[in-house]
Amino acid sequence: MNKTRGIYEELKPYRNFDYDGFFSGLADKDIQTILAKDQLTALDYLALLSPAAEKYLEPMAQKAKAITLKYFGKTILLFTPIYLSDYCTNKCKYCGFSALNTQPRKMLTLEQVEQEAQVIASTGLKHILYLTGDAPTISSVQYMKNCTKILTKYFSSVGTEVYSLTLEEYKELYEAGVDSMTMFQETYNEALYDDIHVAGPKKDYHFRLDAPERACQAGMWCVNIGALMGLDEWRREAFFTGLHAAYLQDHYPEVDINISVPRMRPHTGDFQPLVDMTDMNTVQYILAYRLFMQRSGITMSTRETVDFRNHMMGIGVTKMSAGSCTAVGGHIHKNANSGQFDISDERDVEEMKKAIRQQGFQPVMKNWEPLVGES
Amino acid sequence: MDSQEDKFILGGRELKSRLFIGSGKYSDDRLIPSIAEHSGAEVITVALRRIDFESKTDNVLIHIPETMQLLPNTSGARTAEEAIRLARLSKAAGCGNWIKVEIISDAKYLLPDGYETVKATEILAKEGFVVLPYISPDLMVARSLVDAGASAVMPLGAPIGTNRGLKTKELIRILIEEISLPIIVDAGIGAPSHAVEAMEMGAAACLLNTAIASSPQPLVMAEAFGQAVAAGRKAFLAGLGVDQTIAQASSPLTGFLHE
Amino acid sequence: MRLLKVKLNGAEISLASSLTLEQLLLTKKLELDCVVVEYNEKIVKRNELAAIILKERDEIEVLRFVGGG
Repeated sequence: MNKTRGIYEELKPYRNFDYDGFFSGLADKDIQTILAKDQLTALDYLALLSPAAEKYLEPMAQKAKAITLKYFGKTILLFTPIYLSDYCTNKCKYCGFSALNTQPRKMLTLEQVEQEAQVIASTGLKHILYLTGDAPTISSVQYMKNCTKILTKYFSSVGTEVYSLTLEEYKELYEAGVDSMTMFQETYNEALYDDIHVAGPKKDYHFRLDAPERACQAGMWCVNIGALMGLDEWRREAFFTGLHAAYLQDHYPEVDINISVPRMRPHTGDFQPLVDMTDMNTVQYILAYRLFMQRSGITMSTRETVDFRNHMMGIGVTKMSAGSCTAVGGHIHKNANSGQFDISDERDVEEMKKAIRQQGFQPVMKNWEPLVGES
Repeated sequence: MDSQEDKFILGGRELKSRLFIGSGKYSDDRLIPSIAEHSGAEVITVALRRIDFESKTDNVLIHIPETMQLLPNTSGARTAEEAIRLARLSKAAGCGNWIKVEIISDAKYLLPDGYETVKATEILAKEGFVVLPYISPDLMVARSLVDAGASAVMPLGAPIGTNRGLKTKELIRILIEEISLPIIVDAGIGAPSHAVEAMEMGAAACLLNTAIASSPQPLVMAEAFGQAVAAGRKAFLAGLGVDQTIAQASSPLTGFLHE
Repeated sequence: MRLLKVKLNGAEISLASSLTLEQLLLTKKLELDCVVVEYNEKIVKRNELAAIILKERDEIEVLRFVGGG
């Protein structure tokens, strides 16, 4: 089934690329020329991620705003995550769920999933994204399918954000009612990836890197990728994420390819961001990506502050999580386990909707209705 | 990129001129060598037809210079099967292995049938033909043609013989952006300005017949088209100066970063 | 002498038996190097024309290159 050469091969020319040389060779005129183009090449995108493009953020934002308006209108799609299980066999230095952290673990029973679903659904949200830790024997594919059956009763769109699965497993989830898949490579830097993923199944860089493509092949309608910003030099991570998204869009034009721009947040454990990514860097990444991948959705989570999220509407970001809780069972027990990371934007769904309207946008709770499966 | 090293290789042959001409509709077929010379074109299309025993015309091949690359078309074919048959006949007749797949089942607008074209392309490419399919500029059809093994994709600028120019410009632009094969604009080009427009966009070549053949001065027009195609290509390689139309809004969007 | 019927470019013609395909085409005053011949849907090379003896209900197509765009 897989006729493509794979994203690993696709990224090859850029692994030993002279980034510093490329950046130092850029003049104002180059950035201006790129800003006037309709379609950007990979290297144009890299140029917009460069230090030389920093003084062009305002014209980039103006252009990004026009493009976003053209393809997405004045809307922000809302969704929320639901954490099913925080059992995890991985030892990832940066994550609150890491097996290295000795916190008590929890996994929702199907009854609890239903209760959580009811609480979340009562806010009016129709798009949900479920997450589990990496413990295939505990939060198995069968368990996910059982949860999906419950979630599809309350939500029109169900997304999966779990450990890497095989093509067959993605097909099983798709058939059970999952329509979208989210998978963060965390870092595209192989050596660093190896270092921060101390042990566990997630250590397999390739199996994770190819997972979004397998999800496309399994028939998912939406595939969302991203690098965890703060692990490695951000310009490169942003560049590789964009190339990965472009690769998927080129090979699977029927799939809606999205990216997320998650910045590291404080979490349980003592590993803190290795690299500081400022607000300005984050804005530059979002704007450059919008100019490069004009029709691709961009998701921003509640990791970001209220003020920052408000400013991001309309200049690139198209999807936001709302009323998030990153702890298992957090919607029904306010004193649940510690979450995967701390959230910044604590607004509930109503407040979020109000804020979106204040920005002149329409909060969209639902833009998807499955035609297959049980009605 | 220097236009000196701007090589155009198609079907294993390096072409200096990006203008392809036709061999039909001239007031006299004996004009063809001069037309070829004035335009600089190295590729010329021919068609295969049943002989009419009552009124015999010359075989057009005798007027075509030896050095030119023949591009037989499958005009007259309404199905993939008929196109394949014509392609094989052309090859058997010693016309080489290039073929313009042209399948038209619509006599009113003469618009090509994408579905049949993909089917024929797949079979002919497997047989070793250099297949140049003529299509409406449809991205999905073009993608299928890439998979089918076409050597180029030839979208129409406007219906055959209308001389209306690039009515399908936006769709052709998408093909140029998305398809890795050379995009050769075929049909609809009525004036050198249309050819320049196609080449400036990044088309690999232009194919035209009527515009030269029906001109009061076909030799001069042939020369004009040769220059137009070359000029358009040069402009594309040079990179067009762009409109600096970036609006500077009164309320900056990124001001909050400096607060 | 019995006449036999064959189809030439879609039209039915009658001819004397024992005629070869090459002979038939020569009677039409064709330059055989410049035409393409299809005999019962098979392409026939120039040097094979003389060896084909026509029989009842054969179908022959003779094509030539003409101007095209």
